[in-house]
Formats: sequence, structure tokens, C-alpha cells
Amino acid sequence: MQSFKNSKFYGFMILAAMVLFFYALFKILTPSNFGSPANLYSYFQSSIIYSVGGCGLYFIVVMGLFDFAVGANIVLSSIVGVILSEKFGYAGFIIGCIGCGTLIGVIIGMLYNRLNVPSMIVTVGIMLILESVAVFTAGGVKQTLAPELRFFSGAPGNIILAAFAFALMWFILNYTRIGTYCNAIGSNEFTAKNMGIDVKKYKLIGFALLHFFVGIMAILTVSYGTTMTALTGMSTMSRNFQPLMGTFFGVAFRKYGTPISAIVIGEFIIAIIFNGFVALGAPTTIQNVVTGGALLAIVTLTARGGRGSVVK
Amino acid sequence: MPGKNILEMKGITIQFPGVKALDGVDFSLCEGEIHSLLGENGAGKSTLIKCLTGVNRMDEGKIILDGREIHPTGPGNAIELGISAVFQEINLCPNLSVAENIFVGRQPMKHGQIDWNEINRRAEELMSRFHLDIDVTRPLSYYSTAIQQMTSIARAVDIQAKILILDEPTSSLDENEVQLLFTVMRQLKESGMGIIFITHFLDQIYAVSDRMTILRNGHLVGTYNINELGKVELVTKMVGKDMDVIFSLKRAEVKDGAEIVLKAEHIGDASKINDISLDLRKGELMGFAGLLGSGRTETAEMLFGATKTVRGDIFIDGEKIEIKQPFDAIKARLAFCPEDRKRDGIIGDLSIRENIMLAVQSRKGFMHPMTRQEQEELADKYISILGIVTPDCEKKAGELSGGNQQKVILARWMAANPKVLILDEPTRGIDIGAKAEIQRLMLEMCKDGVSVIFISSELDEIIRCSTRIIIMRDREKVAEVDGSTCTQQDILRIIAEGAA
Repeated sequence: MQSFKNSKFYGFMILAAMVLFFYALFKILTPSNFGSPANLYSYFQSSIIYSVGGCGLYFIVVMGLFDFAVGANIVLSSIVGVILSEKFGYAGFIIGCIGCGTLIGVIIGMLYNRLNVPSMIVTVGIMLILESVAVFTAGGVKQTLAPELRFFSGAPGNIILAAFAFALMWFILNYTRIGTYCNAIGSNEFTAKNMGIDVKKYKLIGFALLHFFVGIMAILTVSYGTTMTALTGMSTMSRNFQPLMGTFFGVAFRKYGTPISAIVIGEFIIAIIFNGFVALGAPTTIQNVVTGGALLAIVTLTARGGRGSVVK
Repeated sequence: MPGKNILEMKGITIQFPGVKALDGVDFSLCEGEIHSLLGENGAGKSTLIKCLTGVNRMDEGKIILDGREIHPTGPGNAIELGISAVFQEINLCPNLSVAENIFVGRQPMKHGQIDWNEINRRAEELMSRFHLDIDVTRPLSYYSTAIQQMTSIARAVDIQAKILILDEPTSSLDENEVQLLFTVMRQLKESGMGIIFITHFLDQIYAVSDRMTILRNGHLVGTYNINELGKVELVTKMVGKDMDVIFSLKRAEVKDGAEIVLKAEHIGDASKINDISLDLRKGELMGFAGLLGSGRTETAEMLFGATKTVRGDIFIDGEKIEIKQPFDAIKARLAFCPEDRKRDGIIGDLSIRENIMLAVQSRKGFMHPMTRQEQEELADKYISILGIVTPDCEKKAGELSGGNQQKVILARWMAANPKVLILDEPTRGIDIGAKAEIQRLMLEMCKDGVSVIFISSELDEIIRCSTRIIIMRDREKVAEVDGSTCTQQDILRIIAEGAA
């Protein structure tokens, strides 16, 4: 039998305790501006967008890879989806976002395998290319999603789509070879290869899956914000980090067998902290410092290796 | 009785840069046979196995499996051909469950989904063949090295290979587990599987093998039925020298009134070791005897600062020092060769030169870098002193044989001029010639005034070399005996009964 300290229940308890702690902290500090049920619902709705991207990133982060092109792909896929939605309605919007996202994932995976250079370098290069492609595709114009195509902008549409993404992630992780193989590759690539796993194939699948989820995130992002503007000069870089924070929670709580819940609740915790500072009226710089510090503290407390363990 | 030939390797030649690893070697294996493959480190055993599993490509020769010529392209392809291998270094994923590790790469599927019930049920069945009643859904990292090794073997067994290669499978197993493994090997043999067994334990060879093939320096010495060769003849053929020369080693003697170099008083950490006190004199070789998990390694790690010491004091030359991390120990001129040389000792991607100068540079400090010429001179000196087999000092340490890797680690610490050298299983998994060589080097260091702590699972070498022997059991020091007067039986009795 698993010990209590390694059980799913224990993992949930830690996550719930963190939610309660940060909620209580900001509620005490700013009782009138923060934490009404309506506020919490709003935080949750914004956090699930990042959770979807966090789920996608999980596949490659557990393999020891990284992807800086997530933000650029969100922008490009959103733009492609919006443009196609003008002709084909919802079908064009959904297929445009997810299809473009997944295709870029496949291209990144193939390039990574072919070039044999670190994923960080490949994806930074791709990010710069995608930003320019997005500007060309949008024709330098802000792309606005038609009002009649905004089912995913709020509940229940956004929750249904996000729930579909989480369920898909859960199925892939638990009932297909992909979840196990990603973990095996992350553990020791050489060993995984010797166990008969086609490492390159599963890395390609990992990137394709990541960007499939990025496609879903693009649907939610552009629906929530209703517009998308293509920008160059690495301005999409900041979009990489919020989903990644959720992934860190997922990786940290993998040992409890609750990565998806950890990603979703982790993003919710980040949203609480962020909105808590907004409610306090703290300057953005202070918000970033404290959010970053909180993330470091949480991941350190939950995921740090034992004394002497090698952390890369 | 063994059946027809299932494997024939003919005229296998493999050339590495500057070294002919195998030179026209022949090897054959029959159905239902346990065939030991023997030789010193660097003899070519691993290269031959890597050739069979497709890791190394042969330059000449052919491999015939079941009458058909094969060209294995890699470990995955070898498994498809019916050749399964278990290596000394555990090649599994510690973050996956035991069951996942057994079936990864070939999970049973049901309706397009992984059939977890089937995986867990079959994994439990397999482990119960080894009399291991464990929770197979737990991560592999949760279990001991021995169970991890058994998992590795269970995986190989379940693949239902025609040929099973066991490369030093017993090096991390205790006696009961070894007997259990032998029972399984005999069962597999009865079922018609051909087993290639590589080990450095002579008794184990004679306990299970039908035939043995001996390699030396990449050449075939011969293939013999097990009752054809006695142990002495076997070792003589393996090393190409007379055994008496190798074992003319004299125990480390301590001069009267030799000062205490290292003293530990009541050190411990409740979860690892209880309460250890010891004093080590200049030029002394102190042996640590005990079963797996008795606390020998943990004590060594504590002395070196690799794990935290919760209580107790450590003194070097009478002065109390605080060892919080290995750097503190190195500064105090302590050196430690860890048990798992691949994981904790050697840095495979660095050259021999770089590996040797790591500790020296660490002691000298960042502000006193060694020139390239100084590094090369130092590396060449120790390559020569220790007889490391390599074309030059720039060869990657990971490409050396196990014995030579061990010598590189030893060279690293010898070059750092330690006062106290702690060697944890330095002779594990290396051949008898290299073992004797390592023991000789330890004893020479003692003569030069270095104090050595020597941990080994092999009692004969502990008794042969040690001035004093500390016997550990259940994370406690249970006795301290004189190396010159005690016998293996004495030590075994103390380990069993827990008192001197």
C-alpha cells in the first residue's frame, strides 16, 4: 500500500491548503476588493486558459525539454483561426487554431530531431520566425473575433473546452503509451532507448501534443480577449511563462499522481496571488517579484530533490 | 542436458581507435545451457555482448542465431530477435513503477488502451517467482538496488527471449538473493533458454554453469566444460599469470605509536546509522565488513560529508572539524571513491586527464589553475603508475573498462595526496587481476602513510588487507576485530549473531 505521504489525497491536501492560505492572506489584507465568489469564479476562468497550455507543456517538460515558441504559436494560431472563422465560422476557427498549432508542433519536433540541437535553441529560432509569420498573416492588422463566434469567451463554453482538454490529457497520460514513455525518456533517455522506446518519435509526439494544446489555448485566449495583434521582437516571450508555472506545479506533484489537478489548481493559485496584488494596488514590479518568489517557494517546498541529488 | 546450438559467433573482430577490442573471437551457446563468459576487465566480454545486442558493430565475423545469420542493429532489435540482456548497472527508469519498468515498450493493450490490470497482475506474478511480495505500482526508486536488479531480470525473463545475457547480475545481491536468482536461472535453463552469465565470482561460476569461455586481451583463450578446469587453472588462464604472484600481498601494518589521523565520535543519523565511533591511525587499512544495508556506505558518506551527519564529532589530526559537504572533507585531505562508480565517481564524458585532475584542482582552488602541460604530466604519471589501459590521457573515461575506470577514480584521489582515503567497494565488478592490482595499490598507499578505509562485500579481501576490521550490522557497529587473527567464519558469526 502507498504511504499516506505519497498518496493522491495528500497531494490534494497540500494544493487545497495552498489555495486556502493565499485566499485567506489576501482576504485579510484587502477584504473588500478581493475574493468574493464572483471574483473567484473570474480568477478561475482566466486561469484555466493557462492550465490548458500548462497541460501541453507537461509532455515535453517531463522529457527534460523546453519550448519558447508557445507564446508565438498562440498568437499565430489565434490569427489563423480568426481569419478562417470569417469564411468557415466555428469550424474554421477551431480547425484553424488547433490545426495551425499542431502543425507547428510537428515542425518543431521534426526540426529538433533533425538538427540535434537543444530544444531551447530550436524553439527560440522558431519563435522569431513565427512572430514574423504572424505579422505577415495578419497583414499588420489587429484580428478581431466576430461577436457571433464567442461561445468560448466565457462559461460554459470555455469551461467545456478546457474540461475536454484536461480529460484528453488525463486519458493520454493514463491510458496510452505516451505518458509512460515521456516519463521514461525524462528519467534516462539512453535507458529508454535500450528498452525499445523510439525516443525521437515520442519527442516529436510530445511537441505535437504540446502545440495541439496550445491550439486549444489559442481558441480560449482569443475568445476571452476577442482580439489578437501580431507583434515582433520577442514580445510573445512573456506568454510562455504563465502556462509554464502550471507545468511546474504538475511536475512537482507528479509524485502524488496528480499532475493535471496540480496544473489546474496551481494556475488558480497563481491567479489568486496575482489578483490579490492587483486588489492591494501593488505596483506591477512588486507583483512580479512576489509572484515569482511564491512560485519558487512552492516548487522548492514540494519538488526539491533530497540532499546530494543532482538537479538540472 | 544442453540441446542444439542456438547461437554461434564466428571470428568476431572489433577495432576501436587505438585498440583491437576483439580479435577473431568465437563463441557458441546451446539451448538450455548456462555458459559463463570470463576474463579480466578489458578482456572483451562486454564488447562481445555489446556486439550481440547491436550496441557495437563488428568489423569482421558473423553471428548465427538459430541457423540464420543476424545483424543486430541495437538493443531494441536484439530484443526482437530474442536476445535479452541485464546489465550490472541497472538500466531502468526509477521514476516509473516496477510494473511499468517490466512492461515499458511492450505494454499489453485492451481496446486501444493500456491494460493496467493485466500489467500489474503479470508484474506481481513475475516478482513472486523471485519470492518478492512487493507493491509493483510503486516507483522503482522506492526499492533497494537488489529489488531493482530483480526487476531488471524479471523484465528480461518476461520477454521470453531465446538468449538471456546476465552481465554481473549478482554484484548488488546478497547471498539469499543470489541463490534465488540461481533457482530462476535453472528454471529458465530447463525451459530451453540459453543463458550467457558474466560474473567475477568464481564460486558462482561453478555453482550454475555448464560451460565457460575465457577471453584475454580481446583473444579467445578457450571454451571448457565446467568440470574440465579447476579454479586455479581458470584464474591462471584469465589473467595469464601465476596466481601466487598476484596474491603475494601483505596486510597493512601500523607502526607502533602511529598517531590517530581520523577520529569519529558517536556520529549518526537515526535514519541511516545509529552511533558509530572509530579511530584510524596513520598508514592503517581499516576494513568495513557487513551485509548490504548494514550501514557501511552510509558511514563512509557521513565521514566524507556526502550525507548529513546529525550528531557526533569528527576529528582530523586531533582537531575537530565540521564536514558539511564533500568540499570540507577534501579540504581536510579526505578522499572518497564511491560505491557506484558510474553514477557518483567517474564522469564519463570527460577525458581521463580531466577526471584525474578534478580533485587536485578542487584542492588547489580556482585561483591556482593548472596548465595543460601540468595536467597531462600528472595524468600520464598516474596512467603509468596504475597501469590504466588507454591509448592516451585524452580518451573519454566512460569508454574505459570497469577496472580501468576504478583506477582513474583512484588516480584522482592519489593525485590529491589524501591523508585518509575511503574506498567503497572499489573491486566490485572487476576481474581478479584488477582486484589484486587495486589491493596492491591500497597497501602501497598505506606504506606511504595514507590511512585507508576499505569497504567490501568480499570478506577474503577484507581479511587479506585490513589491519583492523569494523563489523556492521543493522546500521550499527557491532564489533571491531584484528585483521591478522580473525577468519571469515568469525566475521560471519558476528554478522549473524550481532556481537563480538
